[in-house]
Amino acid sequence: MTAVVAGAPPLIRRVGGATTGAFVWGAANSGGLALLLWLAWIDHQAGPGHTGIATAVVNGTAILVGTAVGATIVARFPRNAVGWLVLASLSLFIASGAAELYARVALLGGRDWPGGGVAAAFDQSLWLLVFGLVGWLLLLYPTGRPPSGRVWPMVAGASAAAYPAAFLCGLFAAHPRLDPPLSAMPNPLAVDALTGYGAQLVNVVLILACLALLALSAASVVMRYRRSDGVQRAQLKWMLVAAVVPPITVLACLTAGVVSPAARDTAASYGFDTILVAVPLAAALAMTQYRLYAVDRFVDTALVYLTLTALLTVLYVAVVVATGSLAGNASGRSPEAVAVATLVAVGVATPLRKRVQLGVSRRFHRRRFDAVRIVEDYVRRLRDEQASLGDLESTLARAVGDRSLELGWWQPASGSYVGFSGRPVGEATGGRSRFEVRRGAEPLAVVWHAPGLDAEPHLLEDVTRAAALPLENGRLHLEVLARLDEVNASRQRIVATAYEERRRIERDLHDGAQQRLVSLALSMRLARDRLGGEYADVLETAADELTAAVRELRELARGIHPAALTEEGLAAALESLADRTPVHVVVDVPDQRLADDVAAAAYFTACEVVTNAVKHADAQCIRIDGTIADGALVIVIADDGVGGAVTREGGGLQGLADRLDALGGRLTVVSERGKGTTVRAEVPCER
Amino acid sequence: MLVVDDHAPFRALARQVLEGVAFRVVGEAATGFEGLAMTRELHPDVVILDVGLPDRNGFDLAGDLMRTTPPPAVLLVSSRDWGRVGRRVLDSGACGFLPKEELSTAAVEAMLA
Repeated sequence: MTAVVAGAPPLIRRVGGATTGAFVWGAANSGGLALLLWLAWIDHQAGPGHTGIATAVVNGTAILVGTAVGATIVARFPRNAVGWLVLASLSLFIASGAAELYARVALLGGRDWPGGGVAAAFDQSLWLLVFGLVGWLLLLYPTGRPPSGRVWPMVAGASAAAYPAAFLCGLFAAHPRLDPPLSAMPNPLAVDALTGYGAQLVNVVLILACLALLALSAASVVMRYRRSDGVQRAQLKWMLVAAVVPPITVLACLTAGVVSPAARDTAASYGFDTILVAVPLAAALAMTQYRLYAVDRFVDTALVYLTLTALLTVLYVAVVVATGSLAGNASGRSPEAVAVATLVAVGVATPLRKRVQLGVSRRFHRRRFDAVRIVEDYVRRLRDEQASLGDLESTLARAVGDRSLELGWWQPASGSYVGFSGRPVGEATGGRSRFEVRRGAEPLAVVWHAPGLDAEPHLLEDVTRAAALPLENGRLHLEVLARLDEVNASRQRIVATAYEERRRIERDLHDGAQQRLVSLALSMRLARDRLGGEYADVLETAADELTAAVRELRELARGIHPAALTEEGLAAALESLADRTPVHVVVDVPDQRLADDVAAAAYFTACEVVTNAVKHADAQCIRIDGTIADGALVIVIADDGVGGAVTREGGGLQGLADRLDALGGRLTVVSERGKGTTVRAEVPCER
Repeated sequence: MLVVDDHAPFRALARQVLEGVAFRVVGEAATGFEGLAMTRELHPDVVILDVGLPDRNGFDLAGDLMRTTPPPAVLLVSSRDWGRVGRRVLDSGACGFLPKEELSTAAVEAMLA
């Protein structure tokens, strides 16, 4: 049974007396801590070189916090070994500390306490058991069981055997201790059988085995991280944050060592305390609140700054030593050297940080790194004009590995999202998640994606950040597209209005001047008939003049907008055109009602082309064929003239093409010299 | 004779021009609808019919007039250019087309002949 479950963990899960057990163990640790502090106080009174107050307080606080966290984990996940292991390792740490202090007081403090030698023997060996528990903790975190596979349970079993064996070997061996001044004391627990060289060899081998097992346990965390995903990965990342503390401690010690040995000891002590708190705290947070923070960012930042600190420290020390040597100061601590080193360190800090950030991203966030690389590569190609903005959606889809991904830009005018081509997107969003990209407070775009990507919120964030430029350009493109639509609509209105104007003028002429002239002509004839006599000739001439004027006006009106086109449609108007044309014209156009502007555009195009054929091409026969297909009227005017017509800027054909273009249509001219001219006009008639 | 035209001055002039020994104008109509109703009621021998009426096209209306009994002779008139009128006049059943400014008793008689 594992305490790690996807989703929200239960608030409190009490199993049997686990909570009581956690409480009792925690209390025992606290009691042990009290004993430890009391011993520290007695040792402190022995004078300089003994336990300092600050060290004791910091150690004590660390133990207290660690215990509280361990007890919380046990209470929450009683069947998970992790909490129990935290409590146990702290107990052993307390015991180890107590043994050391007791030995100091008994053997060096001048007090006549019994068993000082035994306590020293324990102090020198107990650390192995603390390491053993830490190794187990690494092996079992966070599920409480070793990772699957045959090797890891064996590592756990070997640890269970090797550490106690090494501990016992150390406890009963007679060889010199590690720490002075206690190393000078003889071991009262020494057993003869463990004093020979063979036994010493066994002891060394056991300790090496323990260290190897610890390394394997650490490796198991890395292996588990690689295999994991989702919740467990997030939990392991928390442990990675804690894992950053020991190397930082080592670095801090090294740097402090440049200043003084005392500073180094203080750094080491505080660093160790930080580990004591950080590891259980990270474990507890990971197991309960793994959704709380963006742990990725945390790990990232920690790793970046750790590496950066290490590199800068090495550089700093190297520059101090090198500058010192050059200046002839062997110790290498001249103020000039320090100043130079500081300047160098400051100078390289920023570029170095960028490099390290890249390296960390590449190593630890491969997927995000690769995704961002794909987008950055696309942006580069876009800049070199080797890619188009229209590929942005497919690039994002490829980067995050979601073929269903859809990209839409916010259109403030319509209050909706549209794709690059201007079509609306995101309508079929069933079961998909959306990720919004904002520019300041304004919505910029939205990405609809498969819900699987929700587990990686930073992926889309990073990818869209990398695509900031094309996203913005896409917005501008759509803005231009919208403007273009407006311009097209306005051109269309202008052309349609022009045709409408022609129609209105023709009607005004007909209703006004034409009618009046007709009336005048008739009246004049009437006057001639009624009055006659000597004025008959004058009146007849006037009537004839008026009749001629009416005819001329009729011609003019027809040129402006033929009545046949308005009243009877395109086919009738074209037939009338054929009648007026001095050469043979065949018209085959469907007799179908069309929108006024469509019919007018087709008619006036035909008029101009026929006029050109007669005037310039010397045509003898002209065909006008019309069809309506796929929502467009197509008029083809073909003549047998000399050909060689060209569309010239400002020319008649160009004007026709412009007007058709405004209505969404087009004009094509095929005119080979000697082979006649064919003009094809296409006008959409379903809008 | 019936004059169907939406322009009142023309109707009045037509009446003056045509009325005499040969013709007598029995009525005037301003729309196609009125023209048809009056034709049914008054049974004119001849209808002078404007092509561009506000409610109907004269070519279409001519057909309807021809179907009344007894069918009148229909003469289409217009001041506009209607292009290829010959075939359409034939199709409509009218006996001819005359530009308005050429209207006269002689012209009408020639058409009816």
